[in-house]
Amino acid sequence: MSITNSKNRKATKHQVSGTGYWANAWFRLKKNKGAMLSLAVIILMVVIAILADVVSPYPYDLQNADHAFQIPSTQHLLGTDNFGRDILSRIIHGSRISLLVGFSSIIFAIILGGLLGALSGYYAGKVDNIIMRSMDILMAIPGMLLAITLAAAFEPGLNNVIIAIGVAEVPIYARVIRSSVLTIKGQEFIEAAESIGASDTRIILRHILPNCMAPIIVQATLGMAGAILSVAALSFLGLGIQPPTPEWGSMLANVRQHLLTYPHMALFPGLAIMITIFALNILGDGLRDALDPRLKN
Amino acid sequence: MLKYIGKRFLLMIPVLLGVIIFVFTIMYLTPGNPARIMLGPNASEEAVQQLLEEKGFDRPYFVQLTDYIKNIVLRGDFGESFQTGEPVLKEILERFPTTLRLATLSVTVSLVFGLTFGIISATRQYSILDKVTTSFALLGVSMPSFWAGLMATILFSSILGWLPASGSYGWKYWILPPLVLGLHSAASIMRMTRSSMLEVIRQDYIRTARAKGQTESKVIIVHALRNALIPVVTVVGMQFGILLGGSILIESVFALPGLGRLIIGSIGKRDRMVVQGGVLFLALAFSLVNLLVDILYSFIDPRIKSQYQVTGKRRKEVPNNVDNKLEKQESN
Repeated sequence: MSITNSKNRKATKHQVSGTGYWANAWFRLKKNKGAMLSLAVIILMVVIAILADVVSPYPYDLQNADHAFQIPSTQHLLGTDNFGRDILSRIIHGSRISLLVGFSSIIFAIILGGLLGALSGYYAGKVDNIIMRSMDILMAIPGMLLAITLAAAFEPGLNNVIIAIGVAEVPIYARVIRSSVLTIKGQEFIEAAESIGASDTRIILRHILPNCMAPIIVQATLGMAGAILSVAALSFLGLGIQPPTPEWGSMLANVRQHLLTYPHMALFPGLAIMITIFALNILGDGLRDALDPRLKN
Repeated sequence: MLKYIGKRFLLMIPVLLGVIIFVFTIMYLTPGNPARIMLGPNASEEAVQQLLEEKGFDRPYFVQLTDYIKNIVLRGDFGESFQTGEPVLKEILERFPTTLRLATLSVTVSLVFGLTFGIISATRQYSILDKVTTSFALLGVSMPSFWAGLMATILFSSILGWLPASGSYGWKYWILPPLVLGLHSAASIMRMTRSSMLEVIRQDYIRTARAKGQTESKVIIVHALRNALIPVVTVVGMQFGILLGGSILIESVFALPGLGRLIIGSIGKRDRMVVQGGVLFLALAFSLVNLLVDILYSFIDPRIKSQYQVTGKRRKEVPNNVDNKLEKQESN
């Protein structure tokens, strides 16, 4: 009993600073320095990606044979590649692809997985069985392998990469949302909504889904990190974004024959991937602690 | 116990059947005429058409699918490669040992490092050692394995000159790939071990073990670790799937002749049969490992085993009550 009392006391203390669940979560997140720093890094990257044409020192496809294989200098901060293209400019433009694919494929997975998970959890029985058994089938293929298979089946290109990575993520969201729906479904406010004659669609969209946003947001942040890794991996294997479009993974594939002679070409695109994923992972962990304080140890 | 394993095995069959249908359908949609791929661009239209009919690729989708499933189930026949004309299964079996070796070595590396550092940082929570290892683990999770492979090649082959960069001609070639791939998943295992150990260490039975004068190492290894391992085993199973996916990249970085490289190479040659055979084979391996993990579960956690034995007819009367009592006591 004493534990629950102290929990309640803590909760009221937090509520002073905000007006509701989300304000409280934001208050808790603000106290997490690592997560806030990561959030700043991600916002900065989004701004750079949007303003890529303005902030990059050279056009990403400007070739200059006289300046090929240059190591970092004041002229080319991160050096140049085998065609004499500025690596910094290519990384800046590459962030567009990574963030775009990361974001879109997760949105795709959330919409499709969310729909399947919500239907499965809400209707239970046969619908649940059919949907979850198909998800089991997708889960039986390791994620990266599934993305490779899907990417191989269709012509390489931005949209197909987004779909390939998104489909591989669908079962995760379907499961997360299904289990949230199952917990929420039994609560009284759902019964209340049913009793005043709300339709199933309305109950799912207006009453159930908003209440399972927290696990979705956490999963989406971590999932975006995974998706950015996947697009880099697919492009590295030559199945994702095709050159000359700058993409971090394909920049790494491009340098492999010059790896031992010009290592700087491989260093920076990889660092860009790592910093992005690192920031998303820390933010995801921070969001989990902020949105569900019970889980924090 | 046997009944449990049998039941899990039977449950695997419809899933694998679903995987075959899914992968076949995806690959069926791949553009490219199989007969044209086999004969090359210079073959005449008639020859292509003839081969198409001969191999049965002109039949309806559904007929081809049932045929494919029948051949796999009854004869273990995954079809023939478009490029070499060899049975796909033969090509897969030639390459699979390399992938299996890479995966086993990597799992070993990740277990050794992941468990050791997970336990160390949990028992010394908030110490400098804990902070250093957890930061390294987070870095490890965030690092793309193929990039780590490239960086390791630069460091150990180019700068230090200790190890060969790529290929598979002796034990020296088998140091970097498992380390790179294994350390990547060691990070996840370490994080899970740490948080699971931290939870267990605070339990009453650990205090009891200490109170009765048990040595600290025995408390940690016998009392805490065994209980903390349960969620870790799940992560290891999941990591194996990630390892199989990652092995495709690592095989490609280090030029190891494994199944992953066979799949990637066949994608480039539009050899649909080899791609779908390889993917199915890896999915089968993944499902078997997950089955193994589930069985391992019941060894580590006797509660699961007893739960299942309760439903056995012969033990239904007396032990049922005993188990229930035990469960009640535990939940209290």
